[in-house]
Amino acid sequence: MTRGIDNSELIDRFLRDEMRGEERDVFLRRMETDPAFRLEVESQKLLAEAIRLARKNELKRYIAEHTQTRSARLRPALVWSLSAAASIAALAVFWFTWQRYDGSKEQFARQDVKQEAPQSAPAVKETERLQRDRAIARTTPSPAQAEVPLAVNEPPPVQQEDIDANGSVEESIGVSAGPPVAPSNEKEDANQRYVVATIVVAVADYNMAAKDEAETESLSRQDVVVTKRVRPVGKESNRATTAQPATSRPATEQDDASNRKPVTVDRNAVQSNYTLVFINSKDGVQKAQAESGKRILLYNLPYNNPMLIALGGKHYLGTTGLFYALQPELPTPQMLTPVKDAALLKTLQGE
Amino acid sequence: MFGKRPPGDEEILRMMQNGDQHALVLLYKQHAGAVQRYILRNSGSREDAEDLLQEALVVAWQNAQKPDFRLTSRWGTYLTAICKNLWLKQLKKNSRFTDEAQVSPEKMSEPENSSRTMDLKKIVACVEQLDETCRKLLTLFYFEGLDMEQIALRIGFNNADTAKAKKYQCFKRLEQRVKQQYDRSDFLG
Repeated sequence: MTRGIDNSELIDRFLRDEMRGEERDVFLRRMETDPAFRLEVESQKLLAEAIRLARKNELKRYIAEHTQTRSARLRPALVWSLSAAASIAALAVFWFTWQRYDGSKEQFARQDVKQEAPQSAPAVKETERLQRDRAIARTTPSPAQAEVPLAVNEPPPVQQEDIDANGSVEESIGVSAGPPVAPSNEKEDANQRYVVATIVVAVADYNMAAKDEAETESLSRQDVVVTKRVRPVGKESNRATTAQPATSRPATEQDDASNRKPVTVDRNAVQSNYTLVFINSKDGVQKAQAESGKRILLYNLPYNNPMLIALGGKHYLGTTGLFYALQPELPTPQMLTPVKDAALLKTLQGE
Repeated sequence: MFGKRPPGDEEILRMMQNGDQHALVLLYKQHAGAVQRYILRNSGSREDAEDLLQEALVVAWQNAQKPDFRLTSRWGTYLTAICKNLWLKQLKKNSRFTDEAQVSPEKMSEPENSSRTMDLKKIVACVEQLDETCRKLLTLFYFEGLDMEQIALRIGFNNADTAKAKKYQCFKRLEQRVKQQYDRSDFLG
């Protein structure tokens, strides 16, 4: 236990930036050459981050409760800054460390050394398994890397490449595409911009006051709310106003006739082309495909209100500031073509 | 007869340094108006102002725990400066998003990754489930940044060594709790 305390204290001093000069150099060298020690540092860093966040939330809740205000929302920017240290890689190695070595860092260190020595057959097998697992952890792509669409026209198997480092494809948007069908009154609406579907993301909100927790729980775990509307959009907000929690299933019509300007476009025709599907589990693609009966193309998109826009008989997938033309007639990798035309971008942005 | 005089800046600082969270409430009530006016004048909403002031108070609390912290201005000036910085950062970030049209598609998945925050949230829940002493000890060390002697004094342990041993136990307990919460599917599906 003394060794454990010493190690833990040493790591704390490093994490609190209390190390200088040679001591710090020795520490960094040890991290480079001793993977077990590195894992220990990563794990401790992650837990320390969580402790800080828990305290921060506690203070905010206290302020909110005593000032009759609500606890602060966690904006994406703040979320990111708070969680930057909690890299998925760290989480993965964290899990591996525990799972395989039963939580004992000392034991981990010994096992690591053992791998260098000649081993019996079962031991070799185990080592191979560990190395394979580690290779998977290392090669698991970032969301950006996993952007390649999945298979088309057949139940698309979710491959390792499509699974993010967190073991799911939960940051993907599936686009279920049929043949392009122009709105029935295309002539009249050729230059009108319609938001066909908007996806609003409910970011995990740590700071919600206790009284609000029940309300947000369903959102925070399910991550996303999908709403689908068809309406012309000008300068007005393009945020959806109605919402229903949805995971792993196609978005459903949530038209609120009383809250919508008259729409002349044939909405059914528009919607029969594409459906946005939020995928948040490994088998989400298959489920969505089975439910919609359409091919599902999978894209990883940032969570900045991705939306599907109909304009001039074409469809565009947009996120904040980024727009992609949907061209199902092209091979799948080119199906989403970035829109670069400045005038078109302005129109798509509703300006 | 005339009611209690509201605590002054120095008094509030002492409250914070003694771990009295009520100081945050006093500061909030005193300065919410000024922060709100600033945010409303600068494209923000009342909710933004509330969020920012809470955020700023947490920063102030953390700074006040540092042994070398000196309040060289009024709390109002100090807090408004933090709020302004946070708000400018937020506005900058918002405008960056609208300028990203030319970013290559390869970069499009880099912004916020809420699954990461979800993972951290799980661990935060584990921290919140710890018993009060452990939670207090760990947060005093990792958030307030106190050393073991100060922690021993604040919690009432005999000495720094006792606090150190207890801190190690609590950390192990947290590790164990997180380990129990996770399963393989959290990482590999």
